[in-house]
Amino acid sequence: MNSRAVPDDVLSAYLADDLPDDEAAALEARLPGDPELAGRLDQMAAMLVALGNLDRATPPSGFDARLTQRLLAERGDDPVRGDGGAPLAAAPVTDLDQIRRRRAARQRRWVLGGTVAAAVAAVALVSGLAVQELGFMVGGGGSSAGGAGEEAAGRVAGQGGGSAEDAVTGESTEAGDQPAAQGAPSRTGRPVVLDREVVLADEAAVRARYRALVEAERLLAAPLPQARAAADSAAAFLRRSSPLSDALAPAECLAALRRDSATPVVPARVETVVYRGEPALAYVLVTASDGARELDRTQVEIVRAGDCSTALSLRL
Amino acid sequence: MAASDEALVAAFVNGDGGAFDELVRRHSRRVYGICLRYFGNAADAEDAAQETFVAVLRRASTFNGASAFSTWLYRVATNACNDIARKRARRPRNAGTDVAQLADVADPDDVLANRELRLELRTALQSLEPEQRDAVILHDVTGLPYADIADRLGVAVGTVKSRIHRGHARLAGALTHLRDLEGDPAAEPTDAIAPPTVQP
Repeated sequence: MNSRAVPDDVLSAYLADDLPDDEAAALEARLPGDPELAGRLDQMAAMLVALGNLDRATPPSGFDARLTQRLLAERGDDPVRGDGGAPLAAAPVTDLDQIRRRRAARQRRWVLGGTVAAAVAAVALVSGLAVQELGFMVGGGGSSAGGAGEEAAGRVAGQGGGSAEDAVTGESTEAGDQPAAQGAPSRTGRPVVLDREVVLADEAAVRARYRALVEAERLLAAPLPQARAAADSAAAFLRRSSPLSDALAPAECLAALRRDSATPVVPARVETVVYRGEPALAYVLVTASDGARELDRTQVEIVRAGDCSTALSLRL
Repeated sequence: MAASDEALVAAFVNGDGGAFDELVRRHSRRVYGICLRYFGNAADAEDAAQETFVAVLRRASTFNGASAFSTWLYRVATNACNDIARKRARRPRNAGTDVAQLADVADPDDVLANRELRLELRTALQSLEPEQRDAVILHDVTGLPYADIADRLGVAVGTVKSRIHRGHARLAGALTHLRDLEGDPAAEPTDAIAPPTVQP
């Protein structure tokens, strides 16, 4: 079939993700065997980049450093320093230096874990794991070594009966959502920690930012025994994370938030914010309602940086 | 000679983390630009750019090389933008201070006059039907989301998409024709065109 059977407006719609899924899939299926079509698609993409001057966009200050941190967190075991990943070249030298200085304090402790993490990720890539599995290995909950700590590993592994490595990651290369009692992997991942001092003007802004976070949604429906283990593992992980801006520790106010709860409180995200003009920490927590047997609700707690007092408590 | 993007992807899939770093370095600004055009504000654009590279990290092994890596990445980026917009259940909007960074949207002709574009692109744009040209300029050059363009032009979002994609198709054809006339596909003037002609 002549590649012209696919008109250019369809190529444009495909690049904009405006095609229905089945039509996009059909187009992608044709590309490997139709170099002319692929060439036209390349030309269309290049034209759109030139038309929008997209290569000349100026990202905000700190963009490279934040991107670096996020990717390190995906590749390594520490959301702030990313001990397990190779350094990323995207950050300016000064930012990288800052990151490396932060890392240095804990380098010895985590160097082995980081090496193993990188090796596991590499093996996963080479062995051609399915996309979803690879996502779980490399990203999402982090790689299999390090982060959650040895004592957390012991607790979780002992409870679930699975391998220690599966338990620590909170994710697995095996699919399935079976109960922990059967030795199946936990669905939980490590919390995401971001140091971006996001400005949140009001409750509506908080709700808009934190609704439907992937890291929170994947915790929902986790059985309570598994959730308790995940809560402990996540808390241990946060205690080990390096200070955020203004010397705030990610775990600084977590104990207070968990203290009065009879049900597991699993942090999905911890983030520095500026809420109503005040520096604060935002905790996105996944918990269970009274009487529930699994995690079933998400709430965000905005606590003031100075004394951990609550500035906003919002159920999402 | 610098490694091609495609070679870097292959190296990364085979365990070379440094190759991924280089891909990020090469493409982070462009990805941010794609996301900024989609959302029209820096905060959402940055989130989407991060999600784009996380997706690349996870899905690099699915890149089959049929198209260029940059094309594949473009699609991953728009996908990430759409995912974020859907999850947040809100339309991408231009927000506050960021709007000031955009060109004056009073008239697409003014926008075009104020932007640096390759000469051939400017010439090709002028060849479009007015409806398509306005939609393309507002979307691609100014960076307005579909919904805002629909409001502005008083038509449905679907109509805006149709005009934009058909406009892109016409542009692609016009560029091919221009290059054929020039006889040298590589001869692409890249300098900015003359100073803007601002309407009073």
